[in-house]
Amino acid sequence: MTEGTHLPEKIKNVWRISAFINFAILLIIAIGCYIAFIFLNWQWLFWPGIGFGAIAIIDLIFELILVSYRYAFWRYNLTADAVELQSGYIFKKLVSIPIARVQDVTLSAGPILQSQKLQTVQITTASTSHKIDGLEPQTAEQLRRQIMQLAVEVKENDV
Amino acid sequence: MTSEAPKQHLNPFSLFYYAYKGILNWGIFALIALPSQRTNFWVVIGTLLSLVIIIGLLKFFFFTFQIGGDMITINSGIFVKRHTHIPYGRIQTIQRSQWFFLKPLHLEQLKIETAGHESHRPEVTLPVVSESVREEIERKRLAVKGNSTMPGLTTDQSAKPAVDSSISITATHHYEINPHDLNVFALTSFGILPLMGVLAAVYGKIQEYIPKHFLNTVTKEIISQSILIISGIVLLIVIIAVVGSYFSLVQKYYKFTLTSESNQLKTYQGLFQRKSVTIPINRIQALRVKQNVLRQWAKISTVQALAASSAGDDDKGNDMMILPVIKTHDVFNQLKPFVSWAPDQFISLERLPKRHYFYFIRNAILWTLIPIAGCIYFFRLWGAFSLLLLIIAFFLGWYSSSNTGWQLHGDQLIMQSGWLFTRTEFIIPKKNVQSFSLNQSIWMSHKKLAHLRVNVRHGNHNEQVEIRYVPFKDAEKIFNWLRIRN
Repeated sequence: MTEGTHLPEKIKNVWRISAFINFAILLIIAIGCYIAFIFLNWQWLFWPGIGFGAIAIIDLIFELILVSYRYAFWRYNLTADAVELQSGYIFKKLVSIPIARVQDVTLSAGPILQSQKLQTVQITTASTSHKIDGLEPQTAEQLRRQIMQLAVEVKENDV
Repeated sequence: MTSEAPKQHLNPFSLFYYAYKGILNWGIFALIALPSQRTNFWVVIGTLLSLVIIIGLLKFFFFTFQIGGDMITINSGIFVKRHTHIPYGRIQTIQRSQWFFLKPLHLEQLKIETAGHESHRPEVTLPVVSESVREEIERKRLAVKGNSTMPGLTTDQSAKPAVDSSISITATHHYEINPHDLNVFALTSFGILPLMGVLAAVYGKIQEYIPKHFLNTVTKEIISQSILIISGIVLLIVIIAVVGSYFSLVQKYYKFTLTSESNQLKTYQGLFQRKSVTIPINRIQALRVKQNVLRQWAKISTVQALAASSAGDDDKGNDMMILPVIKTHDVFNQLKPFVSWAPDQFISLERLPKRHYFYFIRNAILWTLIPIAGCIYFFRLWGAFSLLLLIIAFFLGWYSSSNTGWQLHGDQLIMQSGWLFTRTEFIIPKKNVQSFSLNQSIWMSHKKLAHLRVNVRHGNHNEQVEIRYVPFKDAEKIFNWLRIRN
C-alpha cells in the first residue's frame, strides 16, 4: 500500500491559502455578528459571534497542522488497470477506480490553484467522483491522456 | 421529421390531474393565508381556485406530443417553449400507472425515461393519455430495436408489426406473487414503526384542536384512570398501525407479476393504482436480497434490482422490486429465469470470527449512550429506564456482526450485512463495480481489520455497499480480486 506518487510540494501552499480563506470567511461572519451586536443591539448574536470566531481560529490551527500530515500520506498511483488514491494514516483509505469504469476526466483550476500553477483532476465514474487536489499541468494532462486512452481501449461499459 | 406526426393533446381528463397537482402546490398558500383571513375567506379560496383552473387550462392547451416515425416530441411551456425529442432507441424505460377509476376509460399515466442522468425524475411525463399511446410507442420502439442493435441509430422504418415476431423469438417467463406469502410479508413489515410515530403525532395534533374546556374535563378523567386510558390509546395506535401498514402493503403489491420479454423485465402491481415498470435487463447493476428479522423467521425474502435508471426509484426512494416476496429457499430458482447471471442457489458466505462481534456491539452501545445521557440528564431517575436501550443495542450489534458475510463467486462479489435487524445481501457482478476502497483506522491496522466499501450505480446515484471489521487478509483478497481487470 505504500507505492505511489506524492502530490507536488506546492499543494501545501494551496491548502494553506484555502485554510486562510476559510478563516477569513468565518472571521467576517463573526465580525458581522459582533457589529450587529454592538450597533443594532441584537443580544442573541453575541454567542453565535463568539462561536464563529472560535471555529475560525480552531479551524485555521487544525488545517495548518494537518497540511504536512495530509501531504505525507496522500499518494496517487496509476496502474495498468486502475487509478489508486491513498490518504491518511490514522484513518487510512485506499480507493481504487478501475479505468474501465471511468466516464470522464476533468481538469480544472480555480484562482488559488492558478496562482500555484496547478490543476485539480476529477475522475468520474457512472456513480462516483474522485478528486486529486492538485497536479502540475503537464502531469495532469498526461494522466488524463493515459486514463482516457486506457478507458477507450476497454470500452465495454454498459451503464 | 417531427412535423409529419399530428400534434396531440392529452386527454381532457388531465385537467383534473392538473387541478389536483395545482391544489397540492397552492394548498400550502391557502393554509398560510386562510387562518388570518376571516372576512376574505371566500375571496382567497376563489382566487386560488381560479388560478389553479387557469394554469391548468393553459398547461393543457400548450402541452402537446407527437408520435413521429423515429422519435417522440413533447412540446410544453406557456412562456418558455420546450420541445423535447426522444428517439425510440434512446428510451430506457416506460413506466405506466393507472388508477382504478381510469381503467374503464382506458386512460393511464406514462413516464418515459432515457439514459441521461441529469435529473432525478423521469424525463417526460404524459399525465393522462389513452392506453393506445403506449401501445403505439412500444410498437415503434420494438421496431427500432429490431432493426438495429445500436441504440440511437434511427431508421426511417415506422410502425411495422414487429410485436408478434419479437415476442415469439424470446421465451417469456412469468411470475405471480403468492397471496399467502404476500399476507405474511405485509404482517412482518417494520413499516408499522414509522406509522406508529405518525399516528402518535396525529394524536398529538388532534389534542390541540379539541376545545379547551372539553379537554379539561377529559384530563380530570384521565388523571383518575390514566394507566388504563394511556395503554388503551397505545394499543389502539398499534392496532391501527398494523392494519394500516398491512393494507398499504397488500394494495401496493396486489397481484404483482413479473414478466420477461425481449431483454426487458416488466412488473405489474397494485390494487387501486395499477403500476407497470419496464427496464432492460442489461441495466441491472446488482441484485439485493433483503429480509428483516421477522421475515428471516417466516423464511421469506425480497429481491430487488439496482438498476442504472430511475425506474421504480421515483416514489420516495423505492427500489425496483423483482420479487417482492418469495420463499427464501426458492429465491434463486425463481430469479434465474429472469436474470440469467444470478447464482443458482444461495452461496455459502465467509463469516466474521466471533471475537469481531465485539466491535459491532461496542459501536452500537456507544451510539445509544448519547440518547441515554440525554434522558438521564432531563428526566433524572425516570431517565434511567433508557438504560434498557443498551440491551437493544447489544442485540443490534450482535445481529449486524452475525449477518456480515462475503464471498467471491465466479465474476461476482457477494456482500452481506445486517443493519437495524434487516439483513441485506448484494450480488454484484465485477464489471458493475464503479470504484472500491479499503478503509482502516490506525487501531484497526494493529488488529488487522479493515472496512471494504464498494460503489455501485443505483438509479442516478451511488449505492455504497460496505462490510465492516473484516479480517484484513480477506478484505485485501477481495480488493485485489476487484483490481484485476476481467
